[in-house]
Amino acid sequence: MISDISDFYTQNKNEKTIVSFLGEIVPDHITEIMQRLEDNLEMLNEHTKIKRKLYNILIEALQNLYHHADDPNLNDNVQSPNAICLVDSCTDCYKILTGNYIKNDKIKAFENKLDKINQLSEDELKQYYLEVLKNGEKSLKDGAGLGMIEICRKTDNKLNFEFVTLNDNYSLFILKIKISK
Amino acid sequence: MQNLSIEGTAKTPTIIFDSQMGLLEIKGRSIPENSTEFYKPLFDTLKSNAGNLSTPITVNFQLEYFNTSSSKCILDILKTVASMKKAGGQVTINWYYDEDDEDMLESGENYQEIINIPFNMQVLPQG
Repeated sequence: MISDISDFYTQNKNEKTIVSFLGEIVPDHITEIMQRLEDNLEMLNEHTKIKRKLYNILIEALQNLYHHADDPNLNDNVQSPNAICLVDSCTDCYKILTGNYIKNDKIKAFENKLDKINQLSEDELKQYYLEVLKNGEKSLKDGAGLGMIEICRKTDNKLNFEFVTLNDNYSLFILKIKISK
Repeated sequence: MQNLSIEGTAKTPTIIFDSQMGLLEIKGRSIPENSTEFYKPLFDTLKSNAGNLSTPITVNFQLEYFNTSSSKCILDILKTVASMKKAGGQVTINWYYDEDDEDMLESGENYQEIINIPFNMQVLPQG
């Protein structure tokens, strides 16, 4: 059982985690997380291609949190965490895990958009990306835009996501991304 | 004639626009949260110069990373440059990429297809 985002963070942080974040997702925090990722990959002597891929994917995942995370604590005076991000370095891959609050009434439309992305072949995904790039994201306002399409394209995998219901109003949106080493 | 110079940061590229020299350069990382806001001064400058440019224009894109939010702005910049060419201007677009960065090369190829102007694809030396 997960009671809130902090709980989820504690359950998933482990000895393989090289970047971890639990807090309010704001531009300065995104800059710090990206810097930590770069520093750690440098220390691990990671290959440029993998570094580039991870960097590109993580920035999209974090900015997705920034633009779309809902905040159940808006009326509180104290700022509570509304997002988490973990990057694990495993034997044959890196794993990115992000989590954010989402209002339950937004889930259906968002899920449809993600399902649509997951149904597309590599070529179709590229065409879809170009279509959204050319025509704008306004028509996709209720869900994933270029960021999610890009994550899917760059990982060569389907989007691995789930919604965990917390209460009548909010759920956690969890995105798991795997990048082969 | 207006010129523009913006120094790069961890999330935003260095931008140089010199109307006398006919140079537009965008170099570094472009991963801001609000790209539209960041690129607005460049758009304003390009628009105010669009009708007055008598020199040939060279556009250099040398990006290390760019996020999807910037990708739309890059397209809009390229469309503005394309409109200068349509109006009779002489335009050269150089797209720089690391040799092993196929994604950056592919992005350049996508853009040149969309705006229908051939780019000079330039490989950056390793290191």
